[in-house]
Amino acid sequence: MMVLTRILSVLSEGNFYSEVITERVRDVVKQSGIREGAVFVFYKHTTGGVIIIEHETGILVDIQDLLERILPSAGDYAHHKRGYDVNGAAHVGVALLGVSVHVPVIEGDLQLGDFQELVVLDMDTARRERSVIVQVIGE
Amino acid sequence: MPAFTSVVFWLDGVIVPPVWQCARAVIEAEGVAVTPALCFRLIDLAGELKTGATDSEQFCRRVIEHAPVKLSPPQLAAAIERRIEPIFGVVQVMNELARASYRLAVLADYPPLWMSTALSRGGLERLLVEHQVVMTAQYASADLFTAIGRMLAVLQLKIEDSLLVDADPLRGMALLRAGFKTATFVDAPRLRREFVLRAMLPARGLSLRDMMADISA
Repeated sequence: MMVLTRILSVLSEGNFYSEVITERVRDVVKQSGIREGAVFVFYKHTTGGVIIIEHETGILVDIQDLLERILPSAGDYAHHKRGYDVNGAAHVGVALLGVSVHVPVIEGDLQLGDFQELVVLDMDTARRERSVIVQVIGE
Repeated sequence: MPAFTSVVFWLDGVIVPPVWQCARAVIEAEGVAVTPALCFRLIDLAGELKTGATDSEQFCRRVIEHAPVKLSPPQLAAAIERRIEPIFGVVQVMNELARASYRLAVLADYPPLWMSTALSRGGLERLLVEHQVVMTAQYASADLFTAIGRMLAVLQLKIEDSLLVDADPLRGMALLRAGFKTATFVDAPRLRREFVLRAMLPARGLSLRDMMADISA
């Protein structure tokens, strides 16, 4: 069993910023030399996540609209009562979307469908550097 | 599905790298570590270029204030200019669209010093209905939407007939909400597939491997 771990840096603008990281993750899988196994892609923060979607402008708008309906960004969240920040919608949103994904690795490559993309989605209210841990496990 | 007659490409990030990335590449080549904080500073400085709040010369001076490179502002400007190369495969896709009789135009917020360089690389100028349009509007604002609508009118392109290709997903989303048809750019194979899905270009399949083969053909 082999394991290779890399940390990808994402310069996020926040506010529903998205970035396709499929090819960066694919490069890590290729570097690992692992032929059969899986890759674990983990967003190391609490206001965004890594999801698998087709990265299309309309889909991004639809996801944002859906989340805005159930989690208004200007809503009154108990999280805000701490007085530290006002990003309750992002924290609850990520509880719905999740922070990580697994993708099978077969014959040394990611097994994604034609339209599946690994996408970082950051719902926080400010720009920040974000870290994504990519861990390839297999043989 | 709307039948587009024209495709409007955002220059920076779609055809050539954004200015801040060119500056970053020069700084790294000079052996200076580029931290995330410096990246965001470069993005902000480039943002001032976009709004016309500064010019290329001032931009280079201010970059040197933040990144200790051993270059003079003119040397930095020349080094940035050398980094302005077409992003892999995009010009080929634009050539295909031109052959398929789509009218092509560019919207840009590149500063004038580097604009002609960007447009002259890869034979781009001959593909465009107009050489350049300089945007100096604020990011994702009503002003920007108005300005883009006005620029399309100058180019005699209709909003409803035009597909805008933008590398900035947030701006693309804002433009879509404002009534523009937009596609978010990631790379040339994915861009080509966007045109295939919209029945604007032919393809042997829909995988990225198919797209790479079509771009290389």
